[in-house]
Amino acid sequence: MSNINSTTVVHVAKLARIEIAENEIDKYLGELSNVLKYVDHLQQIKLNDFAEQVNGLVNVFREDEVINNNMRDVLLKNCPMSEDGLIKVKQVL
Amino acid sequence: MELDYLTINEAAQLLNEKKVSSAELTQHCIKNIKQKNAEVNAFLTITEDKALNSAKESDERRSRGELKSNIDGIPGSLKDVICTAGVRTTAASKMLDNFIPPYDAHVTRLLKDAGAVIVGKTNLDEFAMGTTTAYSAYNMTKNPWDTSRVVGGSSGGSAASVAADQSIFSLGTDTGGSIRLPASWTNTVGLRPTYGRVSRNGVIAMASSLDQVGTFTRSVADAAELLRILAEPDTGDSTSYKIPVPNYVAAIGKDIKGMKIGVVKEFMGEAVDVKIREAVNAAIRQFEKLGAEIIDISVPLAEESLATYMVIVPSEVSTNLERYDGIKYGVSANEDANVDNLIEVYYKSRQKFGNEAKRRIMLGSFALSAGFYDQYYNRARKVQRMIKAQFSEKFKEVDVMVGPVSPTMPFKTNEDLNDSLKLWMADLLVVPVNVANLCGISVPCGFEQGLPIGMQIIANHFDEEKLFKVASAFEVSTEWHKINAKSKIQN
Repeated sequence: MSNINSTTVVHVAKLARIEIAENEIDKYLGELSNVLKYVDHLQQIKLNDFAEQVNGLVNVFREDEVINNNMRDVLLKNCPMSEDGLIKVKQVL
Repeated sequence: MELDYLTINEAAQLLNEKKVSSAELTQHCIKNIKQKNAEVNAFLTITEDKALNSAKESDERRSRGELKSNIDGIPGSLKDVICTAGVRTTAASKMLDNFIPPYDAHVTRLLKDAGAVIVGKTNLDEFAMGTTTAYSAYNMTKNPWDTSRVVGGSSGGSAASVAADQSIFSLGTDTGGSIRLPASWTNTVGLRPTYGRVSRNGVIAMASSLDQVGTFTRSVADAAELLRILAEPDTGDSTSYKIPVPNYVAAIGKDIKGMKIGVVKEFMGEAVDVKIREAVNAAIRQFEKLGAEIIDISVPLAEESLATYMVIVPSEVSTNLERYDGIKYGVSANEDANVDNLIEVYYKSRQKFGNEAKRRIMLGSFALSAGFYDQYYNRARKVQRMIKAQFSEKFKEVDVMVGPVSPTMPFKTNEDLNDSLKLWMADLLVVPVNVANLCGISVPCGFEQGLPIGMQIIANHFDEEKLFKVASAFEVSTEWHKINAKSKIQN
C-alpha cells in the first residue's frame, strides 16, 4: 500500500522547495515508492508496551545568560548578501 | 626510519624516544596524500601549511617537556562534516562549496588542545548520506585495497586515509554505520561510540537523533586513546551526556575469561555472504579459545531496524537540510540578478543538492507531511522504542554481542550505485546499533580474495569499556589488523 502518486510528488517537492522538472516526476515517484514499499511492514508490527514508553530522558537547560562574544562580522562573512551588518534578502512578494 | 602504517601508540613511542619528529610523521602523511589522492580521492582539502606548523609547535613543546597528551604531534584527519575554523568544510556538497566555518567543532577543538596535527578534510557521501562515498559531489573515494571497489560510506575518505597511510587516525560520523561499514572494507578499526558520548557541536547535522562522532584507527588501543580525549561532555550539545569519562585505555589487553559473548542469530542469516559468516564464525571460535562464554541469542526486532531507520533518517534530513536556503551561508542564488524574489532564491539555491540529498529530503518531507506523520515517523519512533527495549533485555544475558559488519564484500565502482535501496541494504547489520542508541566497533577478522572482512562487536549504551576489552583481546591474539594495503597501493 503506497500513499503516493505524481500529485503527491509535486506537492512534496513544493513543501521542500525542491525544483523538479516535469520529466523527473516519474523518476521520483518510482524511487520514493520503492522505499515506502520497503518500510511498509512497520505498519504490520504489533506494538507492545515499550512503544509508548519514554524513559530516562531529561530536559537540558542552562542559565539564561549572555555568552555571545559578538561574532556578527565573522558570521556575516559567509553570508551571500549583507549590508550594514544585516543580512540582505530579495523581496518576499 | 620505517614510518609506514604506525599506530598512534607506536608513533608516540618513536616520538618519545626522539627517533622521529612530528614534522617527519606529518611529512610522511602529506607525501602519501599527494602521491595517492589522484587515485584514491580520500581528501577534499589538504591543510599542509597548518599541519606542518602544528607539527613544528608540537616538536618544540616536546623539546621543552610540555607535552599536551599522548596524541601530541600525531597526524590525523577529519571527515569534512566536522567544522574547522578558517578551513573550508563542504559536507561533500556543492551547497557548501564556499563554506568556511568561523569556529571549530568541539571535537576539532579537543584534538587541537591535545596537540594533534590535522592534515586535511576527508571525502564522504554528500551530507553523510550513503554507503559508498559515490554520492560525494567531489567524486567518489576508491578503496585503497582495490581501486576498482568502493571504500564504503559515508565516512569513506576517513577510512581510506587510514588504510592508505595518509593519516594515522581519522574522525568520522556514524548515523547508520558510516564508520563501521567503511572500516570493515578497509581493514581499519572503526568505533561508533554511544549516542551522547561525544559532542556533535560543530558537526554538520544529518539525522540528529542518530548522528554520532567516532574514530578510525589501526588498533583498538588507539580507538580507546582517542575516545578518552573526545568523550568530554560539552554544554554546546544538549545530548552530550554528563557522566564521567572512564579510563578507556585501562580496558586494553585485559583477560576476557568468563565474559558472555552473544552471537546474534539475526545477523548471521542467508542475507550475509557465506565467506563473511565463515570469518565471523572463526572469530567466535577465537573468543571461545580466549575463555569467553559463547551464547546464541536472538533479537528478532533487530530486523526491523533498517525500515525504522529508513523513515527516521529522511525525516530528520528533510528538517536539518531546510537551513540550506541560500540566505545565511553556502552557495546562493541571492545575488543572481535574474532571480526576483525570496521563494525563487530558495528553489534556485537548493538546486545545488545532489540526487540522494533531494531524494531523502522529498521522502522525509512526505513522511512528516500532514496526514502521514503518524503513519510513518511516529510509527517508526514507536518501533524504535521496542527495538531499544529488546536490546536492553538481551544485554541482561550477555556482555557484548557479535556479528558481521557488512552483509557483502565492497561493491565494484562500475556497478549501478544509483539504486539507493540496494545501497541502504549495505547498512542492514549496522543500523541496529544506531536505532537502539548502542555502541559498536568494527575490527578486522579475515580476508576474502584479497579484500578485508570486519567483525562487529556491540555493547550496551555507555559500555565502551566492554567493547574495548573484547575487541582488544581478539586483536592481540590475531594478526588480521597487521595486514595493510601498502603493496596494493604501490602496484
